[in-house]
Amino acid sequence: MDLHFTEADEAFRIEIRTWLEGNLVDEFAALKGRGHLGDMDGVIPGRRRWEQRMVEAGWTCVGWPRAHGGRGLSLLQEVIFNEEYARARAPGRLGHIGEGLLGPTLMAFGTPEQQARFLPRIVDGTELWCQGYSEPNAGSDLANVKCRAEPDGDDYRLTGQKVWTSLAQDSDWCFVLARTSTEAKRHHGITCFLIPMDADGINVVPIKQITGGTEFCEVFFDGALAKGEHIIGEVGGGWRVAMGTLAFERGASTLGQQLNFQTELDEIIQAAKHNGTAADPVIRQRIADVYIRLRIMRLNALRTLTGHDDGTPPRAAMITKLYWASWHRDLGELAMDVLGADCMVLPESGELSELQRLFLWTRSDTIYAGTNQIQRNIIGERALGLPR
Amino acid sequence: MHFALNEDQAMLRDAVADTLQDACTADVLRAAWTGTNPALWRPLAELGIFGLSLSENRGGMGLSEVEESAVAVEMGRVGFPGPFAETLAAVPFITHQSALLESGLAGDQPLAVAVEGHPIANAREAARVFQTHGSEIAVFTDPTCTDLPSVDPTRALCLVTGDVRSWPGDGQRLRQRATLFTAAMLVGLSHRMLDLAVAYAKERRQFGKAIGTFQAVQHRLADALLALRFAEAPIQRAAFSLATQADSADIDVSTAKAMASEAADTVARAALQVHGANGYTFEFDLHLFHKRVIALQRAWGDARWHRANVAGHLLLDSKENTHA
Ligand SMILES: Cc1cc2nc3c(=O)[nH]c(=O)nc-3n(C[C@H](O)[C@H](O)[C@H](O)COP(=O)(O)OP(=O)(O)OC[C@H]3O[C@@H](n4cnc5c(N)ncnc54)[C@H](O)[C@@H]3O)c2cc1C
Repeated sequence: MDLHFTEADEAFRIEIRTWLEGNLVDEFAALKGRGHLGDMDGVIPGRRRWEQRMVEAGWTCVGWPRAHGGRGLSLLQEVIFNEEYARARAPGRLGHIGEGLLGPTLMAFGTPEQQARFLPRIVDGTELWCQGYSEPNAGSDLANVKCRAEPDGDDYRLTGQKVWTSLAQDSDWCFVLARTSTEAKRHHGITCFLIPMDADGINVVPIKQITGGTEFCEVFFDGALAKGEHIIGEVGGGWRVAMGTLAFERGASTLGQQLNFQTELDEIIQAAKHNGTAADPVIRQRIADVYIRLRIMRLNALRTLTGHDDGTPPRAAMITKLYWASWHRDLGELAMDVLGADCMVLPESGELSELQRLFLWTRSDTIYAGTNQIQRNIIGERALGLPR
Repeated sequence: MHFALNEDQAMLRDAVADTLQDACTADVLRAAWTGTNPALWRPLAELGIFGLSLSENRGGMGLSEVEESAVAVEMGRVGFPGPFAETLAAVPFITHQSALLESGLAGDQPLAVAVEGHPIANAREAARVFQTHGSEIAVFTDPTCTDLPSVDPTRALCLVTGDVRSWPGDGQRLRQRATLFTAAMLVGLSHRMLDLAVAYAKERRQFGKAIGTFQAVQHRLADALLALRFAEAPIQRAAFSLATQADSADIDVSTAKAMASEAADTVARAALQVHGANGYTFEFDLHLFHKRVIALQRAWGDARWHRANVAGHLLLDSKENTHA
């Protein structure tokens, strides 16, 4: 056992830290802390320019293989990158759905042509993606998707509705699960399509959230054309693809977020010192508790990444989502308790403060990407092998 | 001993509940997010609720906090907008200005009150703005309000400045009454959120069944009910203690508020989780009640403050524990 980072890893950390310090200045300084939690639809134009700055310096898709335009970083270095990104309070990544979900899905299931068509534009930030999986009656029960895909020559026409589609209003493309057969058993009649959001017959309606923002949308399809050549995997093989995406969503892509969490915790600690609650024994215990659990989260992430030999994260990823979502929810509650009566009051801007937003946003952490209950079901069935 | 409302008390509560059910719907609440709706107060005032604990010769009903807190639970259940707990708490303290008392009893204008130095809810539209300081009460003679935008728009907060003059009455008791009624409203709000969640769990289907058939969902809601049920008795105990001026009144009020604040948190969390992504939207009613909980949980002291207050009594250092 050796819990040091290698010299190369440390050098890499300095490299990205220095770059961020040198570039999060001038117009980009104002983006610090923006575009995260409950603010993913905020300052979009500025964040688009920031993405371009990242692209120019080669800091997008850093974990992708070089062959696909990435930097070919190891998972550990990718975590270091994410940590430094968070430490610098750099803005929320606009392209995260393409980079973290669709890209890896295409690498696993797409054809070389599809990879050549789509991956470079995720790397260069010119195409943003959204994930069209959930429907009004297919949330936890994703296999219940009803959106229909009917053949039209070599292509397909999509008709139906998606919901809670994050950032649909700002996306150029969507990856959609739709039903190509109603006869096949539930899981077998589903196919994964890529469709441009400006296709005729697509209507996007933003949904207002409890934070007041509109990060997700309803997406209505009315005979919208999806090309046959843009099907990922087999016709009828969409379920496998979807499970692949979900594994990325719940797994390695979140391993570097502890530094973001640390930044939030730091802010809570500041607030506690400022308003005197830091002297309260109960608050002290709770701050210590979230700190300890955050450290454990990081230790576990590092162990997941480096405690095995073949380069693929082990199935421990299953426990990660449940752990961080619950932790983050608790952090939101601590924030409110530290603020005390002040949490009833909005800042002068009239918009939620970062800590108020943190509380409301973290209400959703235990829901998206698989609810806590679903995560527990999965752990029970797959990790413990309990009968279904 | 009879640890329940008697027949008359229950009738009163039901009459209030009936009136509210029609008058204070979720649509009304949504409208109230853009300003208090005074039309709501009148029909309630006609039931006499603002004079419940006022003696009959002063135009009241000669009842007590027992009835008042039962009414406040119902007000919470509908998420009643505006400074209801404060007004209900303060009306009996109007001992010498008959016009003001009449307006209070008629529900024409609310009364505003907070502990000195704290933001005051709905001070702008209030007929009088009071503050308490230990056992003292003061009234602002010419209040200047600085608006503080509130997470719950139906509870508009202001910082109030200006000259004050002393007002007769026990400030401690005024604070305890407002605290108790706020706690009672939290219990009512919790009932509502739990009802919404249970209804949703019966209706929402995933995997071919109502989600309420999943034990994970059942257990969440069962825990929520548990928290709520165990917050109810303390409300009644505290009401009885105030009504009978029991020695334990301050501890009882703090117990009620601490338990109600925490129960509301537990229920809100469970209710939102059961609603899935729908609970995270503006469109579903849940958030209307949730945001009111965020405000009332910390109004008149949060659970932490009230626990400290109880500890203060137990450990005999209560003098040092000023209202935070
Ligand atoms: C902020 C946010 C962003 C999102 N972004 C996207 C996106 O970009 N793209 C997309 O496709 N989707 C997105 N979603 C949707 C998300 O995937 C779903 O909300 C999630 O899968 C849960 O589905 P549901 O909301 O329909 O809840 P439901 O499935 O209706 O669940 C309701 C309740 O029942 C419980 N439950 C359901 N089934 C079971 C069971 N078998 N056992 C025990 N308990 C159960 C759940 O845990 C939950 O508490 C987003 C959601 C949120 C909140």
